[in-house]
Order: sequence, then structure tokens, then C-alpha cells
Amino acid sequence: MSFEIIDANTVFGPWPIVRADMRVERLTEALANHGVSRALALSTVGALHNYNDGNAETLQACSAQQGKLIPVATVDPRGYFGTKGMAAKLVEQGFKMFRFFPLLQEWSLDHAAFVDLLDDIESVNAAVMVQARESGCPSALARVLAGRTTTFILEGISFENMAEAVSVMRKFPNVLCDTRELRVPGALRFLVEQVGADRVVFGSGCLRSSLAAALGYVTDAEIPDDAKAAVLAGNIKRLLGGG
Amino acid sequence: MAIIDVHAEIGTTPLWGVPFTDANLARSMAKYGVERSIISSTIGNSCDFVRGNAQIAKVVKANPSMLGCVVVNINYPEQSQKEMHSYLATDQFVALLLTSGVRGRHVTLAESEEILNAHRRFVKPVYLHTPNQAAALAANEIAKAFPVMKFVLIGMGGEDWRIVTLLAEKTLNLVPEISGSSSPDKIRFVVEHIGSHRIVYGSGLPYVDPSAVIGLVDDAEISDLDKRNILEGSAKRLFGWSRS
Repeated sequence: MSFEIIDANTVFGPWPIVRADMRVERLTEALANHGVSRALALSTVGALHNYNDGNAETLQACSAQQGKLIPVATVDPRGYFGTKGMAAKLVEQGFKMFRFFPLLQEWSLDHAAFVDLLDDIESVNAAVMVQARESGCPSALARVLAGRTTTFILEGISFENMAEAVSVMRKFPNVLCDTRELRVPGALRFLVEQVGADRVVFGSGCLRSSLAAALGYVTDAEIPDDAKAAVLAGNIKRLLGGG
Repeated sequence: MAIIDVHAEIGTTPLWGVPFTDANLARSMAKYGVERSIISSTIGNSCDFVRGNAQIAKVVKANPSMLGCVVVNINYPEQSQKEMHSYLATDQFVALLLTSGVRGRHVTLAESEEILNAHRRFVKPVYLHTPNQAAALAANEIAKAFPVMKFVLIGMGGEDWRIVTLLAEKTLNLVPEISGSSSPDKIRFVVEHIGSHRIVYGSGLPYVDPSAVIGLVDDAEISDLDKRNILEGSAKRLFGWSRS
């Protein structure tokens, strides 16, 4: 059975931390080679330099790809001064999701400006993806989630913090997770059994992680085809408004 | 007293995204009597050294009072060497800045050896960020391995400026740059130990206001000649401008 595939977690742009070829052309080539129809994408400039420049670069690169790349905005709370309506403006510009990088940028999930940002995003219909690959991240996020209706995607859940993620997901029906760091045999099946296939979205982390590896893990997982279809595309399509 | 600023950056700042342009720098230079500034790009330092160097090449071409510092990244040795060949052969670029790709993380000898071997032909000073003791010790090791090159220690070890001073006492190709800690004792201590002729002024713009670092020198209990050396003379000698 062939599946529609949408990758919820891709990045392109300069990567100074280690040597890497992260040109946007390489991303689109990888997507084409692996039958990924669309990907939510973001320029690393937004995470590593400043979000205004990065968001502009993301929009520009995505608009050149005729719908293959869906723009994702980022805002670094360390440089956010509570501008009301910023999220609405970004959505108006065409951004479909927000991503946050607390681990890369070294701020905590109870950062007051981050909470302000979440308040601002609450007024728009866009999901939020948050780096959560370390133990403690899902719990820390849970502490700022009360009363929110925004959909949150925990990025980079692994064997080590899956129990924590599941606990948070059970308490907050608006919390999902992606598949980027799932490596352990049977982990996806276990996750689907715990929280349901409609709470997991395919995200590879490409170009920082192998698209082939991430995709192979999901397609080979021992879960029903309808669950695979939901993980690989259905769930994120629903979040993006069915488009 | 004329001033030479050996370390300023231009471009949009990380986090806030506030633009600090060559026009902003020119205004600041005029305000503080800075004759020349050696500049690199904010984005070159944060994430994209190739783009940053290209931006600086345009700026220094249009502004004779500004000179470029080529930024390279130890994680990209081949690309770094290409950048060095493109820019360091020109008079408009006068220094090389080695970065680790992560702000706050210093470079080590093992990581920088290949790039520094390639840099031998250019005979231009090498900048190293030294925000703390570990960075200063690593810089000292690099300087000892490449005794023919001058190494400018940006930030002078931060709060660990005494360590930098003691290292520079023994390693004669280390040149402390005084942005970093605002300790009122720092300037006199370093002058007494290594002499003002080996200490240079860097503003650290746009992250530090020049008034702070200039004030540190003005306020230090050292002679006027020492102050002139720090703010101008040492840089002139370091870059070979005192002969012209």
C-alpha cells in the first residue's frame, strides 16, 4: 500500500555547529526521492540568528517551491517584547505553524516571554511544535498548557522521555508528538497503543536527520495501515486545515 | 586622541533582529573619534560565515575607514580556506576570526590547525573569542603552536582576565583585546604585566556601547602614553599601519 507522506519537521539553511550541507535544494531533492509530497519547513537562520531574518528567508524559500514547502515561523522568546498580534501577522503572511527551540537557544519552557507568545498564538489557528527531546521537557511544557486550545507537537520524543510524553498527552488532548527521534523497535506501535494514531505526526528532522531512516521506521512499523496513513499525512493535514 | 577599534560587528543582531548598519557604525565612530574599525558581520559570527564575509566585502569597499575581518568556521575547513583566499589577499581585509560555530564555545588547536596552516601565507593577525579561562588556555596552546602569528584575544578572558595576562606574559604572540570584563583593576594590571604596546581596543559593538570600554581605559591609573597605545598605537603596530 502506498501512502501520502507529509513531513512535519524539516529545516534548511546554514548550520555552523557541525559540518552539514543544508541547502534548500538538497531538502527538496530528498523529499522528491522519498515520495514526500509536502513538508513543513523553516530556515535555520530563524533559530540561530534572529527570527525576523529567518522568517523572511523561510517565506522566500517556500514561495519558490510551489507549495511543496509549507512555511513555519519561529520566534525566539529572548527577543520578544510582547507585541500583540504578531502571531496573526505571521499567519497572514502565510505561515502555517510555529516552532520553538528552547534547547538550541537555551531558555526554559516557563520563560515569561514564551508564555506571552503562547497567549498571542492562542488567537490564531496554527499548531505549535516545541523541541522536547530531553527528559523533563514534556513536563515543563505541561506546566504552561492549562486552559490552552492550541495544538502542541512535542518534537523529538524518544525512548527516554516517552513515558513522560504519554503522561502529558493523556492529560492534554491538544498535545501530539512527532516521530523524529523514534528509533527503538516497537516504540511507534507502543506509542500508538498508548495515545492513539491520531496523536502522532511524521517528522523526520531532515536536513539534520536522515529522511530515509525516519520514513523507513514508520513504514516498517507494525501498526495498521490506517494508523500509518494518519501518522504519515492525515494528522498533519487535519492540523493544517485539511489542505 | 584617535582610536582604532579592532573588533566591531555590523548587521542585524541575533535575538532582537535590530539592524546595526555601516551608517550606524560610522556615526558611532564619529562620536567617539574612531579613525578605523575592523569589522565582521553579525550573521557571519552567528551562523553563516560565507554570507557574512560577502556582506562585509561590500561594506569595506564603500567605507575606507572600515576594514574587514574574515570569519571562518572550524567545522568547514575547505570552505573556510576558500574564504581566506578570496578576501585575505586584498588590503581591505586585515584579520582572520576563527569561530567554533557556537557562540560561547571556543576553538581548540586540534580543530584549527588545518586552517591556521593555510593562513601562514597571509601574515595577518588571527582573532579568537576568549570569554573565559578555558578559551584563554586553548588560545594559548594555539599561539604556542603558531609562534609566527599574532593572536588577538577578543574579550580578554572575560572575568578571567588575570589568567590571560599571565599567559600573555609568557606567550609573546598573544594580544589581549580589552572588551569583556569591566573590572576597574583590569587595565592597570595588564599594562603593568605585559606593557600597553601589546594591548588593543575593541568596542564589541553592537553588543557593547563604546563608551563602556573607552571609559575603562580613560579611568585606568595608567599614563597617557599607555592609554594612547591601547586605543591606537598598539593596533597600528599590529596591523603594520605605523610604518605607512
